[in-house]
Amino acid sequence: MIDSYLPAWPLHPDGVFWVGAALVLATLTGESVFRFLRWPRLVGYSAAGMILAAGGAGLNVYELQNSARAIVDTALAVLLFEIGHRVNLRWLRANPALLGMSLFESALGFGAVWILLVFLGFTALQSAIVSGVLMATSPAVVLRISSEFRSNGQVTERLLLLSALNTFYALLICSLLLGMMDADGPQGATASALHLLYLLGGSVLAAALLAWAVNWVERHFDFRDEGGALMLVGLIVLTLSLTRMLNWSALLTPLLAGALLRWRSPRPRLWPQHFGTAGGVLMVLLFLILGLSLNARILLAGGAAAALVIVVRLAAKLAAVLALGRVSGASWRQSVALGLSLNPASGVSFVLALSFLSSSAGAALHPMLAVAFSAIALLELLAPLLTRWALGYCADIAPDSASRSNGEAA
Amino acid sequence: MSLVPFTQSDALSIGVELELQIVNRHNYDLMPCAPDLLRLLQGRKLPGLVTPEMTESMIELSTGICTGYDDALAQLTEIQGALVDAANKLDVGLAGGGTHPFQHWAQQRIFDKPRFLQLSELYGYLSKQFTVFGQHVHLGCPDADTALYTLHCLSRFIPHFIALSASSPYVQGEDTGFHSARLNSVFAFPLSGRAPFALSWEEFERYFDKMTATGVVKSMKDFYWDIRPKPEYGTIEVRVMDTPLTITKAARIAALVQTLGAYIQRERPFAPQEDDYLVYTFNRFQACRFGFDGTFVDPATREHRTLREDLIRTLVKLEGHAADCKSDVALRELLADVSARGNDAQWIREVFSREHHLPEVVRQQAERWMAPLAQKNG
Repeated sequence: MIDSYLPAWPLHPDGVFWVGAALVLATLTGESVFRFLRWPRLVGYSAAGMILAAGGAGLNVYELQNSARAIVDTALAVLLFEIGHRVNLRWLRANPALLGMSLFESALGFGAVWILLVFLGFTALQSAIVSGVLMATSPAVVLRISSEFRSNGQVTERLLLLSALNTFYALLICSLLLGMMDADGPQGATASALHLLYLLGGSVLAAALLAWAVNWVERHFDFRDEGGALMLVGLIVLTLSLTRMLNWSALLTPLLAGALLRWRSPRPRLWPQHFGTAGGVLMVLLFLILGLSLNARILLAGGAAAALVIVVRLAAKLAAVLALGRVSGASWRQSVALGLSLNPASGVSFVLALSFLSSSAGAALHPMLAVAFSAIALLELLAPLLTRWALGYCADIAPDSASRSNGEAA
Repeated sequence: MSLVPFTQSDALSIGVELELQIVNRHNYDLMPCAPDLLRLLQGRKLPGLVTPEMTESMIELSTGICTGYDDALAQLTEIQGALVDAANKLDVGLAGGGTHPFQHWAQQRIFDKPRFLQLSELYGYLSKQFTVFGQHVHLGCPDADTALYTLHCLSRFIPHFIALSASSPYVQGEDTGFHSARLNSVFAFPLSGRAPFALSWEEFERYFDKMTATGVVKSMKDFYWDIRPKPEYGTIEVRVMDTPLTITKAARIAALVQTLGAYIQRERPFAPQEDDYLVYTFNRFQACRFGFDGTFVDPATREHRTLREDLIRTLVKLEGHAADCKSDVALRELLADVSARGNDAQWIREVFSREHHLPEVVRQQAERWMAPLAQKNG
C-alpha cells in the first residue's frame, strides 16, 4: 500500500524546520548587510528576527519559552566570560581617570534616565529599574563589532573595558533593586538582605571555581584549537547550570570569572572568536531571538518615552566621557568616538528586564518594562551602526578592513 | 639636491636610536598606538626625542649627543621612564626585539605622514614587511675623511654588532632558524647593503652626485646601508643592530661602537680596501644565521674562526681604549654575553621552549624592556 510510507498531505514541518529556516534567513540578512552596506552582521540577525516576527512567528517577551531563554543565557554566559577576561585591573590602577570615567558615565547615564522617567510620571523605583537595566553597554554587541571589523586601538580597548564595568554595575544595581522590591513584600528587609548576600557571595564563589577550572584545564588543553575551545564552552555552561540550580547570578558569575582569571595570571590567552563554531552559532541565535522577541510591536509600545530615554542616555554617556576623556589620555576625537560607541544595549539589558518581570511585583511593572523593552529594541537596531561608525571615525577600524576580513580582494 | 657638507662633531661622541614595538595587553599583537604615546609625551622635557616611525605600531626614541656609556644609559633611562608612564596609562606594552614574532604585516597601518605614505606607495608590501625594529648608533667624527675611514674599518665588525644585538628569531609565527631574521627584511630594499668604497669625501660626493643624476635617490635617507655617513650631524651611523631587549644592552653596544671608534681613529690599525668586502656578505650572513657560532673570515688574513673567538679577541684588544672611554664595565658585560650568557635571540628561544606560546614570549619581552633599571640583569 502506497499510503503506508508516503507522507500525508499537506506536510507538517516540525520545530527543526523553523529553526533551520530562521538560521538561513538570519545569516543571509547578516551577510547581506555586511557585504553591501558594511554594517555589523548582528544588525542583520536581529532584523531577520523582527521580519519573522512581523510574519507571525515572533516570540512573546512576557512569556518567553524556556528553550529560547536557555540559548540566550548560554550565549550571554560565554560573552560575559570573554569580556570579563578583557578587564585589566592593572590598567585601572595605572590610570585612575579611567575608573572615574567608568563610574561617572554609568552614574550620569543612570541619573539622567531616572530624572527623565520620574518627570514623565513613573515612580522612583520603577524609573530606577529602567535606568539600571539600561546602564549596561551590551558586551555582545561591542565584542562582535570589534572582532568583525578587527577594530584595534585605544577606543576599542576602552570601550570593552567600560562595557564590562558598566555591565558589572548594572548587575549589582538590578540585584539591589530586586532585593528592595522583595523587602517591601512579604519577605521583609533582613531576609532580602540575606538573599542578596547569598546571591553575590555564591556568584563570587562560582566565579572562583570556574576561573580555577579554566586555569587547570589550560595546562592540558590548547584553547587555540576548536577542541580546547569547546571544553571551555562546556565549563562555562556547567557553571551556568550550577548558578541556576543554586539561585546565584547567571550573569555576574561568568563576568567575574573572566576578570578573576585575567587578574590571577597575566599569561595571554588566545581562543577562537567567541570560542569557535559553537560560540558562533550561539551568537547568531542570540541576536535572532532578540529580534524575534523585541519585534516591531514591542518596539512601538514604548512610544515617545523610549525614544526620549535613548536620547538622554546617549547625551549623558557622551558628556561623561568627554568630561574625563583628555585626563585619561584620549584625544578629543577618541573621546567623542568612545562616548558614542557606548550606546548598544542588548542581551544583558534584555535578561535583566526579564528578571524584573518574574519578580513578585512583575505584573505591575508591565508599562514600565514596555519602555525598557522598546528602548532595547530601538538600540538593538540603531546603536550597533553608531558604534561601527564611531570606531571608524577614530580610525580604530581601518577603512578597508571590512573587505579584508571577509576574504575578498579590496 | 647635492650633498650637504660634513658638519664637525665632537669626535667619539655617540647617539643612540631605538625602534620599539607597541603591543596590546591581551594577546600581545602589535597595536597602532604611536599617535597616542606621542600625544601623552607632548610637552614633557626629555634629553632626546620620541618620534613616529613607518607604521603606527612602532615608535622611535633617540638620545641627544652622549659623551659615553654612562651618559647614554642615563639618557635612555630617562626617556624609558617617560615612555613607560605613557604606555601604562594606555595599557600598552613596549618591547625590544628586532621582529614581532607573530604579527601579520598586512594588518599594519602606515603612519599618516607624507614621507611614510610616499614610501609605502613606492615599496608596496615591502614597506609593511619592514615592520622590523632596529638600533642605530651614531658615532661623532672630527672630519669627513676620518668618517669614511672609520666607516670602512668598522665594516669588518658588522657581524660582531649583529651577533651581539640579535633578537629576531621568530617571524610571522615561525622560528626562522636565524638569530637576526630582521636583516633579511632590510636586504629586500634596493639600496641596502654596504656603502660604496670611497675614502675621501670628494670621492663620496662624486658617487652621490652620479646617483642623484640617475634619479634613483634624492637624499642620503634613500640609502639603507649598514653604515652610512650622516653629514648633517657629522657622524657615521651603524644601522645593523636589532633593538636589544633592554636599554642596558643597547647602551653597552653603543659603548662598543664608541670604543672601536677610539681604537680605529687613534691607532689607524687597518688599511681598508675594496677587497675587504669580498667576505662581507658571507660574514654578515653567518652572524645573522648562527650568532656567535657563525664563521668569521678575517678580511685581511682570510683566516677562518668562529665569530665568538674573534669577538673575544676584539674585546680583549680594546681594554686600553675601553678604560679611556670609561666603557670597560659595558664591554666586560658584553664579554660575558659572548662567552656565557648568549644573546637576546637565545633568550627569546629559551622562553619559547619553556612557554610554547609566542604571545607569552612577547609579554615577557615587554616586561623586560619596561622594568626599571635596578631590576635588570643581562
